[in-house]
Amino acid sequence: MFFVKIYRYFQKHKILLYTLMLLSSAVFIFFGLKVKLDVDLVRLLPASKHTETDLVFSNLKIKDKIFMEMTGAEPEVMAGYVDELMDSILVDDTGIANTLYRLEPDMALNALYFAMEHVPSFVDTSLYAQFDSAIAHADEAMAHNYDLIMNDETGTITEMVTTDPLNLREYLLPDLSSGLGFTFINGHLFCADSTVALIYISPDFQSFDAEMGSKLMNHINQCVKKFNKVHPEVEVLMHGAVVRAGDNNRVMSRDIYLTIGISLLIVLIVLCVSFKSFNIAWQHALPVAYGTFFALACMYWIKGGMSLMALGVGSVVLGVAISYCLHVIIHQRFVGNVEQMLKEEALPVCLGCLTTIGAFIGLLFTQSDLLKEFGMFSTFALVGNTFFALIFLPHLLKEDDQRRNEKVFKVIEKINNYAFDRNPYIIIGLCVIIIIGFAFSGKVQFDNDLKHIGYESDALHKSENLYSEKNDHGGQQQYFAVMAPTLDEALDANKVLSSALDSMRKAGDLISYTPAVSMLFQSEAEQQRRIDAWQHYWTPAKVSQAMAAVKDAAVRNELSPDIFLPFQAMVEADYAPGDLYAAEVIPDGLLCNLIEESSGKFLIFNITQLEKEKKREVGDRVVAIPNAMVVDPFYYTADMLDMLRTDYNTTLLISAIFVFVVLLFSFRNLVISLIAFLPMSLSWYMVQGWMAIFGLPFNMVNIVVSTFIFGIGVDYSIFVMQGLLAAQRGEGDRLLEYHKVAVFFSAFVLIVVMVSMLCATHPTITSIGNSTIIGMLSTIMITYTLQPLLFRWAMKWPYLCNRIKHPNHKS
Amino acid sequence: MKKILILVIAMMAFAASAQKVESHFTETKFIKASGKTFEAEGNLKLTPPDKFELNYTKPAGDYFIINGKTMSINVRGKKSVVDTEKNAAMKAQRNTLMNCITGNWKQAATDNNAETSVTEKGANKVVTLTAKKTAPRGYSKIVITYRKSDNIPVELVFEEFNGTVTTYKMTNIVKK
Repeated sequence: MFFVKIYRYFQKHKILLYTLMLLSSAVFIFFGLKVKLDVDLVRLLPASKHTETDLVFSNLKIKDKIFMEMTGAEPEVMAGYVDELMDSILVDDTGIANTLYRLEPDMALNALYFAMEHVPSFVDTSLYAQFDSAIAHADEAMAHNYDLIMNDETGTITEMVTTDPLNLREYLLPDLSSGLGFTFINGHLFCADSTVALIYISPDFQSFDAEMGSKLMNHINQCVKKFNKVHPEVEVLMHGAVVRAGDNNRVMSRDIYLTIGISLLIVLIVLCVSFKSFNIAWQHALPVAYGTFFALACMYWIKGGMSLMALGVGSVVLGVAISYCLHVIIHQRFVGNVEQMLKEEALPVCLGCLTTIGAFIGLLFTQSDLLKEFGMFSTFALVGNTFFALIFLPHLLKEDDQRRNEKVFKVIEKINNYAFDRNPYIIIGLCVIIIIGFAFSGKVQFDNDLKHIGYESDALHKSENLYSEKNDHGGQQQYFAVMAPTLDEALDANKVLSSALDSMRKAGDLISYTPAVSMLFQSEAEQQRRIDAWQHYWTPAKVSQAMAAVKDAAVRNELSPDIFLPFQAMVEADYAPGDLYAAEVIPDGLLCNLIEESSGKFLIFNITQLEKEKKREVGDRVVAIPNAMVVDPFYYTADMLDMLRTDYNTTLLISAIFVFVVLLFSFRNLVISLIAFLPMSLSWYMVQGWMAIFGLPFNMVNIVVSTFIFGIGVDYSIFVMQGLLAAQRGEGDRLLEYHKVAVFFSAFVLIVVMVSMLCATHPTITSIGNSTIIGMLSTIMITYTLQPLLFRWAMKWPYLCNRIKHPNHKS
Repeated sequence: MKKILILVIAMMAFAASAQKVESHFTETKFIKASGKTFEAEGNLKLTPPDKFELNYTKPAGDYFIINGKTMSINVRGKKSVVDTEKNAAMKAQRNTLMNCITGNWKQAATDNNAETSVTEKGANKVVTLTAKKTAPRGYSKIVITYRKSDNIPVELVFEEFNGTVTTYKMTNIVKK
């Protein structure tokens, strides 16, 4: 009667009603459109571990790098092409923090001069034994020096040789470029065999920033497209977190628009034809749109934004929302009286909404941000939709409008009136299906690889495979890092990690590892130790010995001994520690592969190549080292997903208890509540079992949709139960018929939407389609067959039958 | 008298530094280590306060340009641009050269830890900077010959510790 009173009030205050409706709609649309969407899959993970480390980790640029490869022409030609492509990309460098595709000409010169000013800092104390050997073999070095000097036309090489006649530089930096995995051609980065030119682009935003990611990827794709028109002989590929996120965003948006859009169009056409009215389209669309914008506005007010994935999955809930509108509109079409419709529909619609919210609200107790967002969005969408359907919509319905397509309704009535619960074959068949579902429910697979949830295009696969093939020595590239508040502390910590990784390489656990940072960067204390060691080594006696060896070798090789005075000056000079990181000698694009400052912490990276099978084992050993981490968010996901799955099972249990308690309160009868609860409980096992039989795995997204199946299952159950109870009370089969027609249309709507989802490209959307169709079919079969059967059996119990017929009678 | 002379020299140096100068130059590089000598030539342009250009006609296309804090070099097609603020060694080289060209040789001597001597030779003044100590890099000796009339350098000789000597001779000097 509550909603009838509100209806009567607004009937007398129409201006207030429309003002309220328009004003609230405008507010919800305004704020709803302000919601910022992101595509961070990692947000599926429990948020309880969001410590400072996680914050730093999430801000890392290195994990968001865009990897581009160019292949198909001679290296020298591609070097020029890379410049051409990058010049066009960098015309608009919005969203680009830095790039690395060539070494600027001054880099080598800057680095050389820095190294000469801080020579001892680059000399590991273990190298002094090799220095002794170099002095002993001065003759060989000098013969080489002679060739270099005689071919020098600018004096630069002579300067280098006269400063380092013993060729000590070879011990200091043993082929660092190949250690970093690059070959340089005309200053440009290539893979080791020079067939693929490499480009790295670091964005200045995080990969899950959908808006920025889309803008940048659109810009890069356009530049590549234009470039390929001019140079069709070369192929440009790209991968990386931003590319993946961009693909995900694009494909998910397209799939949502296409599958949901086209299926809703089909549904609305069917509804218009069935009810011989075009009004039916907007009568359904308005409450759903109102609920959606109400939910988006709430998300904006509470969180400022939400995950695109949560919105995508949440759109499935709109199917439930339409279901409530169907009940209201169809009932009105049958009775032709709004007040009567409200009297008979308000309670089951509210009850259905409450129990469905109960199913979704369980998600709010999980530790995953994304699941919470999905739960919140769905809850708000249902509240908004139900509010509109029961407060505003009745005023938009015509009182005596009972138009309907009799042909269509005859077919529906024929199906609805068929006594599924009295057909032994159907009952036995259903029982067999349920038992098989039960038996196999424990065997359903759970795919806990978050990478499988995201969309991966063929081009992205090709790019990843090419990069891996050319750079990862048959394994996979994996970054490990240490983190500390200061660079010096991080460098000290990295010594431990670097030593451990080197041991693993020697033991064969890593395919390759070059301690690039350890070669180049030392803490101030370590530099001072090395300077002391340098001075300790280059005693006057050692200098005399070395100079004598050099001069003798020079004379033997027809070179003037006087020209090597710079060498003597170099070993005798005074040195102080230097700061290579702050010296800006190494370009940002290269430096961020080695060291990154994030959220006030310094991270030092170590690049390794390893077999995929050893990733976890090596990762486990690395994270056991103080301050060390695996630079791969997915490394940390497996355990957390297991946690989340357990967490989720608990959540389902909480939801189930909540729904059952609501049913118990509303029906005030344990047996009736149990029968109404049946579709929800059985369908869950059927979904699990039949997904196992069809070899379809659950993942973190489609498992969430099980809450939707619960919600819709309970709704159908409540409506059918209301009809059965009314019939049992002697009020006739009218209510059961109306409700069954609404359930039929609701199921039709949802199945059309779900079938359309199977045609989607995005794996998440298709996986939702799979699990939901199985769940929906299970629910409908149980609602049409088992529920009436069990109700009929229960009514054979006189006590219960009497309680139903005379609910207020106290026996 | 000495003070007056210093004042005059300082004024002349200021006058020179305030003028644009263009000239032809020859470069002779003797590499003691190989005993080889390499010749080059081109056009010099000095635009105070801090732009100095050597544009080579032989080998054609090579250049050495100081523009403020930036040094741009092209040697046989190998180009480099160096921000001398980020590179102490290059900064020292840039400052030494600019100080020698603009007549500020005393600062060049201080920066290079060198002893100085000044002699007069007809219409020219010869300033010699000699390093007090052998160093891994830099110059063991710098000899600059200035025109007494306007303090414009007509010859620069840079001798490195490894014996490499580079001599620049300026002719057809035009003040603008």
